[in-house]
Amino acid sequence: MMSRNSMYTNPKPCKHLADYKLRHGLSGYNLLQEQIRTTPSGKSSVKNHQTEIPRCCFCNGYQKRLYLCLICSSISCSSHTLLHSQCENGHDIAVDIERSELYCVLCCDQVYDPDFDKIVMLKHLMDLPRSGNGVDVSAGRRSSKRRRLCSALELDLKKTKQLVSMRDLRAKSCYPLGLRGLNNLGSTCFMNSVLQALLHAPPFRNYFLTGQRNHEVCRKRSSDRLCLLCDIYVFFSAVFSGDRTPYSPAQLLYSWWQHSANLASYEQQDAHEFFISMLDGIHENGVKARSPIKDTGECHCVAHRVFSGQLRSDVTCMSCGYTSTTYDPFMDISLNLDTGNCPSTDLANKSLKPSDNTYVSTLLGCLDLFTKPEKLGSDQKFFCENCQERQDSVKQMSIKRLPLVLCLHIKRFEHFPVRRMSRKIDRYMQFPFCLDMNPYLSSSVVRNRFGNRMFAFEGDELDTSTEFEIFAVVTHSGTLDSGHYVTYLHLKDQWYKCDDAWITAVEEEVVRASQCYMLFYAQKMLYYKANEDLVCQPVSPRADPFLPIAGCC
Amino acid sequence: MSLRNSVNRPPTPDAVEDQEKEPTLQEIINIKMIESGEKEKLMELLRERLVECGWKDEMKALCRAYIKKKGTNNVTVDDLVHVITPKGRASIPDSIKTELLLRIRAFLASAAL
Repeated sequence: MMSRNSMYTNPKPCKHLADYKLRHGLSGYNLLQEQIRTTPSGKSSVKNHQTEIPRCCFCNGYQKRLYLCLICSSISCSSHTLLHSQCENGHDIAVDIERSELYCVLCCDQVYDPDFDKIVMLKHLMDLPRSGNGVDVSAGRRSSKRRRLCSALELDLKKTKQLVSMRDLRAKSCYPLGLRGLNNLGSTCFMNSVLQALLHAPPFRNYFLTGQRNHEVCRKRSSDRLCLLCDIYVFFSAVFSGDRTPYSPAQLLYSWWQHSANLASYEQQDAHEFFISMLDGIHENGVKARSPIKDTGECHCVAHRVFSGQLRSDVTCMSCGYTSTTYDPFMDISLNLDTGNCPSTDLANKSLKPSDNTYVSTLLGCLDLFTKPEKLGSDQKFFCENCQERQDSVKQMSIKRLPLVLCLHIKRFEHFPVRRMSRKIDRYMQFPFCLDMNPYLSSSVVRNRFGNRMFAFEGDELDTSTEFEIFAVVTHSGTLDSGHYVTYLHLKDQWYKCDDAWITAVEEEVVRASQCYMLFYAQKMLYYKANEDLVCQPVSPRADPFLPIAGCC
Repeated sequence: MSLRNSVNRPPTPDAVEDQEKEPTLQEIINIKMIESGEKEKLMELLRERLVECGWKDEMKALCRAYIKKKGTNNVTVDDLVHVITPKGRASIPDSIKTELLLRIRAFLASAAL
């Protein structure tokens, strides 16, 4: 049994359970194992004979919770368990028949024993069709976690500190380094907003500032061709130079146009699309420029190292429980807004959740929605390997591996190709500044399928940090056709609004009330380290640190 | 001596006890439903509906609130069951009750009861 995240440390056994274990060890559990049946949906019960109704040996009742004594196998209902324990000395530990959960009669409470849960799970796994059951008992495979940590540290730096102190001290501003307005070059706020976020993604920033990108020896530049990575490097240098006058990222725009010709125009584009295409451009440029290092299937370009994670998708056959699992990489996660709408028709009668008018969407709600088991429609019947026919099935997503920087995209633009119309969803969504992604990890999601089990599942990562801190929010205001993007940056405990060329310090409340479109979270330790490196210098009261150029936007 | 034995003999079972051994209609229906597997299906259906309409989440929230009030170490599963059960039963949406009743009726009709 591995111990991991504090949420899943094993509770201490009560005195009675400890006594029982001393005297009987695993014999009671092993005898029980044969009788455990698990439904395709993951619920384990103790079933002696399929159709025999278990009844309390005292009152013959069958309608309350029933408990099976681990020592003598007699069944008592919740009212009579104590009586049984009084009649038979030492018969204190029982199993809830319907749920396969341990119960201590004297404590009147549920108790936990990892050995018991292991036995339940093993039986379940043995019963499941083949090994494609979504749960792999193999001891944690040698993950590339170590490599990722090292890689993160590489990007993280000692060098930046030196660089920062050598920087141009013209600025004389108390604003952190790296804050610089970006001129709008013609509806390019979609680009400016994303660039501001990228400028402050800790490992991304460090990569470009510490000269890991060796711009001098770039082959493309020397042959006078465009290199996106070099242009980004130049861009970073300019922004972090200390010069506070707004910068025009024209070269970068042009470079990006070359890469994404289909998006090259002066029309307003989607910031998220820009983000993806930018990462794509970096990946392609990076891949060509360097030779592949130890082919593990993982890409080592800066875009992947910083933003890529892995999603897990489980499709479970509702008839037999066979689960097909696939893994796919992701650079960001697009989330549908949770609206609190329930498919059940009769909510007007009993309002369990407040009606649409008062239900507030939250980021956690969206993430819950994302990892919720979803029944696939009858037109999407999954071909079950075990049943050898198409069956109704349930699909569930979860996150197998978190990236260093997590980009969450809120789907606010709905497109209806059939009706040839698009619309924007203005619904407000609440989001936290600190985010713990633990409940959305595959290890948590898969574990939850099987109830309250203390059991190590494949992929439980011992040293993964799941805590994230927000550092950038890209917001959108206006309509789909004519809207405006603004980015809020969280640097050294202060929020800054980056509206093209204008940068102002703002209060937290302003950010919380904004209509978020893309949220950028960095792993906590990276975020705090990055903030340590930002230098602030005292400001001269007369000088306006940010000089906007008239006529833009 | 034999007299004492007869005095010490346990009492004959009451007529009342006999009646209790006769299965009630409810029990008969229950047995039939379990035997045919219908009960299992209905339980699954019920669970699904209760999750869909948010009832399960509501109960979870109630449990959490109760635990928070009493303190994590002062609550047992039995406590929770006793406290939450009445609230749970009371807040089941009518649509779900109706759906299940219809299913049970259909089952009864098909089982010719």
